[in-house]
Amino acid sequence: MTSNGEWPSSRNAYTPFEEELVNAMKDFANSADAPDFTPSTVMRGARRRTRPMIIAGVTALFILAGGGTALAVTASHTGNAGLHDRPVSATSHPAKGCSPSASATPVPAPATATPEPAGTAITPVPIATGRPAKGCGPSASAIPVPAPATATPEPAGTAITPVPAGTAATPAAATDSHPRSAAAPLVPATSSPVPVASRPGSGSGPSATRLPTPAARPANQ
Amino acid sequence: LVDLADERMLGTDLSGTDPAETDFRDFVAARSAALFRGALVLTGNRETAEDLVQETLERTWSKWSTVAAMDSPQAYVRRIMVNLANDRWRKFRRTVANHGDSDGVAPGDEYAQVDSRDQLVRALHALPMRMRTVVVLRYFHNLSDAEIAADLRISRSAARSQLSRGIERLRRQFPELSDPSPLRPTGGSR
Repeated sequence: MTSNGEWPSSRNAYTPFEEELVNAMKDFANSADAPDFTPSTVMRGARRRTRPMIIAGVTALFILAGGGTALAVTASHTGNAGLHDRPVSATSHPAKGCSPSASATPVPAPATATPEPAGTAITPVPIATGRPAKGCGPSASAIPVPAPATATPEPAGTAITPVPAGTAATPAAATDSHPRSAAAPLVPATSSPVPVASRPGSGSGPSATRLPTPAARPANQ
Repeated sequence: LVDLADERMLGTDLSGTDPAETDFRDFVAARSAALFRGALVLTGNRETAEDLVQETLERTWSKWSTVAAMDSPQAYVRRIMVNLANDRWRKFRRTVANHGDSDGVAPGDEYAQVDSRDQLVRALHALPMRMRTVVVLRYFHNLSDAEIAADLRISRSAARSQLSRGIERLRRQFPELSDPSPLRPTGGSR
């Protein structure tokens, strides 16, 4: 061994066994003719080896780009939904089939602002504007408060107009369970002061629109 | 698109007159036989050696711009081949047949000497791959401990240890050829 710990590189320093080993390896190496390695074949093989890697890389790039785009779209939608979910006004999201009304607005909005104090958000306007849609909560149009004194004048732009109680809408009419009876008072309330029974015999509760006419009474007697 | 990318990455153009390709062709013509001989000694099988050299050259071509700029490209290519052989051995070590123990040979007989060398090579190929690689690099490629350690990415002491154990195993199988070696490393030589 040399002074720096290296094995000597000269073959002359080999032992007979090592000499024999070296000769054995050389004989074995020379026992077979070396095949002809064609550079074109080598290059083709290298191309074949690298092609799947390129395809995999491009595919991974597309997948990453698609995932990033999807994440960005999802994030932007989530951000917009967060803005909508803020409790600014209930009129922003009316129930399906429900029309936004002033009474459903818990926060005073410019268009539906009323001079009432907080806590009396429901405006007692005795107007039957129509049958409330299924699933809709009670609104001012369905609450029969016959007190015009408590009715506050609505600002311009709202569809609800104060109507004196007793003319058309009655508590029974407003709370009638028949699907079409609630819409009936609209016609006589504005066109004729005489209530007309639109569908005699139908409905469950007494209503001004279902009173039997004087001509019908003798027939029953 | 892929073909164009391949051509660009591999450093070739359609005319085939790329200087890098010319250099690589010269390198293959000059070094492939030596590479094959080294692979044959390392693996002990002609087909395996051919595959090993083919894959080594393919990897060399894919990194040819780096390899060509080196001071000793053949050393780098030899390193690629040796590490590929070790990787293959790790994958397929269970499928490689053991050649078994060698028989004793009477010295002085010419045929017996040829047979002795053949048995020695067989015994060499029966060594574990890392140990065999160190022995081949040391005695066939005539590398120093530092070069062996650099090629195999191991420490010098590990290379020395593998070499001494490999030689010791071979000596035990051929006691008629072995005698006490003055070069045999001792335990306290570190």
